[in-house]
Amino acid sequence: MIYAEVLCEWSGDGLSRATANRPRILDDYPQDVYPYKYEDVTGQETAQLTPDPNLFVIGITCEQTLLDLLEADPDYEVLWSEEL
Amino acid sequence: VPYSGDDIAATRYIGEDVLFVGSATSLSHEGAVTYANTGTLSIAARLSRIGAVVFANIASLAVAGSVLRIGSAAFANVATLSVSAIVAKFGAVVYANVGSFAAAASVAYKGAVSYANVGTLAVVASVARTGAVAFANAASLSVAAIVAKFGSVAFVNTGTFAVAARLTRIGSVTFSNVGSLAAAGEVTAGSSYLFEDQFSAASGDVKDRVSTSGHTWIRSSGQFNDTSGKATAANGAADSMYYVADINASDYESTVTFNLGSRAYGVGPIYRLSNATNFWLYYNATAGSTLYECNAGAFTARASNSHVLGSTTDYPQVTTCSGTSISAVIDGVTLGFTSSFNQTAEGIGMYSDFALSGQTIAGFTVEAP
Repeated sequence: MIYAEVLCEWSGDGLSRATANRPRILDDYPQDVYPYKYEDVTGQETAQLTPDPNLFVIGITCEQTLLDLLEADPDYEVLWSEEL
Repeated sequence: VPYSGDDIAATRYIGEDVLFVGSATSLSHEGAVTYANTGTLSIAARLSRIGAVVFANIASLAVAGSVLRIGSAAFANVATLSVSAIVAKFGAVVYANVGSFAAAASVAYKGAVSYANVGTLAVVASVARTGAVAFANAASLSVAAIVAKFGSVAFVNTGTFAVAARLTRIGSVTFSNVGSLAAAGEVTAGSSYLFEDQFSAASGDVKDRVSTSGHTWIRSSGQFNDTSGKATAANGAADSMYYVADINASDYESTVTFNLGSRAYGVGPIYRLSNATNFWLYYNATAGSTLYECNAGAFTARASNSHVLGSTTDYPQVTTCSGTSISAVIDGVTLGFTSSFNQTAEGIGMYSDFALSGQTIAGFTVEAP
């Protein structure tokens, strides 16, 4: 299992729970590689979402498979990672 | 500092004991204050911030501000007493041999309150929020609001007593040798929790119902029904959200059991709610649990996990709100976030997705940490 902090965009409009502001990883990757756990590390106030530029730091706990996909994806920037 | 003059409005003695012999409008910052053998006394501001306050043998006393913030207060042999603000915020308050007493605001916020040999007593607000309350040998007593919010209440040798609201929410109540007692409200709410609902009714909408702890559910959307021990999202209802506006605490531990129903739609409890568009929601679904911040109606998924939850299974959730931290253990997995958003909001609630198979919430309790 890996913990990584990654630069990620927000997606969603926040107008309902179903369309909540959420990490774009959940839209870009299939559910079978979803992080086991994630947390918004930046913690930007809701009133400032979506920020310009649309980027925040997300902390994820995931399998190596997802980390490899993110490192190869130009839309994401893996800041650091470690094995748990 | 002895004082015997009149009209010393705004005079303060910091760190000194003050003895008033005449009438006065001012006070002490930290020292004790004693009034003895005074004909008429009128006080427009707080008497003491920390020190004790003693009134003895005063014909008439009127206080427009708080008597004190922290120290104890004692009233003995006062013929007529009128207080329009909180008597003590933290300290104990004792009344002995007071002819007539009227308080328009809370008598004590946290300290204990004792009345002994009070001729007539009328209180239009809470007597005590946290401390115990004892009435002994009161000829006539009338209280229009909650007597004690959390502490115990005892009545001994009281002639006539009338209370228009609840006597205590959590503490015990004792009556001994009371001539006449009329309580228009609840004597106790019957729960040792800050909030509790076992949803024990067999059927019907939870909306406007009173919980086990005496709180009233408010409907924001959809529908939850009582189903003999569970609140069940009504089949066909759109997203359901019910809440309790105020449980008088924002730091606590809460326990709830949820079930996704046979079609496994999402459901979960709400914490730190200030109104229907500002709260924290734990949303539990088959793919995992997500902690949403709903801020001015905008939902943001602040933290989530992929811990798979099954259908028709009861899952326990224990949630702790403490300072800027909100954290839950759901089926053994921890999910939390740190934020000052709505940190002091005192409402709670429950939420479910569109319901086709009866998601449930059961055993919803909140207790002090």
